[in-house]
Amino acid sequence: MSIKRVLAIAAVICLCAAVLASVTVMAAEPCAFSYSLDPADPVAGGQVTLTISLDNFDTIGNQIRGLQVDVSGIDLGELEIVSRDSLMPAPDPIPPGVSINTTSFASGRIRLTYIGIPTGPVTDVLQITFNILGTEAGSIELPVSYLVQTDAGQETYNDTITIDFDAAPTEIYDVDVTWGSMEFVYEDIWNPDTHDYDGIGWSCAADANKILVTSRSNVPVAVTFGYAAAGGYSAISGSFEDSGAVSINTPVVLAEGDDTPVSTAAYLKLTSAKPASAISSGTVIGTVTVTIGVPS
Amino acid sequence: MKHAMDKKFNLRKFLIILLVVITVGAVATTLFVLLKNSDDPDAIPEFAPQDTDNNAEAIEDDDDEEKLEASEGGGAVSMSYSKEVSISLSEKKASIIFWNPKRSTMDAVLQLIVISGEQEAVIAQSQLLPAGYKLEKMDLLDTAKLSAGKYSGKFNILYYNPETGERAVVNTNIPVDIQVKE
Repeated sequence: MSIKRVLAIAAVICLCAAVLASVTVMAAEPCAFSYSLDPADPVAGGQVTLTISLDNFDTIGNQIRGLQVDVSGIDLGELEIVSRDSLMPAPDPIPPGVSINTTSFASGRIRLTYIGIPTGPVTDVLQITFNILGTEAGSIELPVSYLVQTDAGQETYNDTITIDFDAAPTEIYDVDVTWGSMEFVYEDIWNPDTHDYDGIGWSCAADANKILVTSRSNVPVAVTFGYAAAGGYSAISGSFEDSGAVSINTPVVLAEGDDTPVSTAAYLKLTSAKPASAISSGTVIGTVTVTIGVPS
Repeated sequence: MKHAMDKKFNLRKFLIILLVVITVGAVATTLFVLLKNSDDPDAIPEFAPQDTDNNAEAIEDDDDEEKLEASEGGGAVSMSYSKEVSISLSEKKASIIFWNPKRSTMDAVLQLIVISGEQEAVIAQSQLLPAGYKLEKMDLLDTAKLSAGKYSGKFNILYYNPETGERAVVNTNIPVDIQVKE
């Protein structure tokens, strides 16, 4: 066999090897992406965090030269974007010295743009936190596309992210209200020593006029105290004071009490001139209304 | 003489007729007032209703034997509730969550009131809700006039001494959000 023939055969073998090598590269294991939701069972009115992951970086990660992940179909009337973060490691630049690692949002699409060589392992690539708007249960589908640039070429994958969520949980309030006997006496006692009246006005036994509101709710509540005179006793007015005799004129806000119950106490104070005629014991001269609302 | 007697007789007849008219008028007025009050959805019962509400259910796992502390002559109530109310016009029912646990010392009556500007209207009123019972459905009153949509409203909770039936001088208001559906 002549040298020329040997060289020709060697060249063919090398060429075949090169082709085989490139085919091998091009036929390398495709990128495998997945996503997860936290919590796995989100609810309307709550938050959900979407994490997109690359499952086989060990085999193909070192070939990545660019990555673009598009999560589309984001309706801002359904989902409020709280945060969007690339979880890719800082890239080493590729010629001519380009390295990019950012996220952007436009026209209902969040895009992760990554250009460069990953400097570390890649598992999670993109994380987005949403507020799920509304209160009804539902399902939202978001098309997602992955564009991966490697030495061998470009690969594109499409998928759909489904976010199923339950209806917003009903807030349950847990409140105790206790009250004293609300029995008052109008005292008008003549003191012969001072030639004056002692104890003019309405009085009651200790804590007979006390109203205590205790909340064990997991949300704040606002407590308002009101007094309404009964028919025929409109001349007798009622107001409320705290334990320090300071008037209560605005709602009292109680913080969340599910760990430690929180309380507020109010004391009813009656004011009037001396009633024109005696009022029989046990006569209802007014009512107290405790309003338990939501802080504004 | 005869003329005088006739005159006396006519006077007597007139007085009898007058008394009968007054009596009939008084009875009619009394009946009218009584019937009006019994139909008046806004009337607050001064004494506890005789019957427990048909929709009342015993609270499961409410084994709390210890009552809240209440001073003599006073009262103590514990309540768990949601401020979301859903009404079905086709079923004529309101879906609510309101619990009066065993530790309460008072029985309760619940009014569901719709508020529109300065106007308030009672659209549902329960019978007695004893301590240890919950209410998750209320029957709408026939007088309730609503259409589909969202409304502001409130619970007005009245308390009654379980022994004497007397209404307490303290009551509770809870603002609620009402969603009305066909």
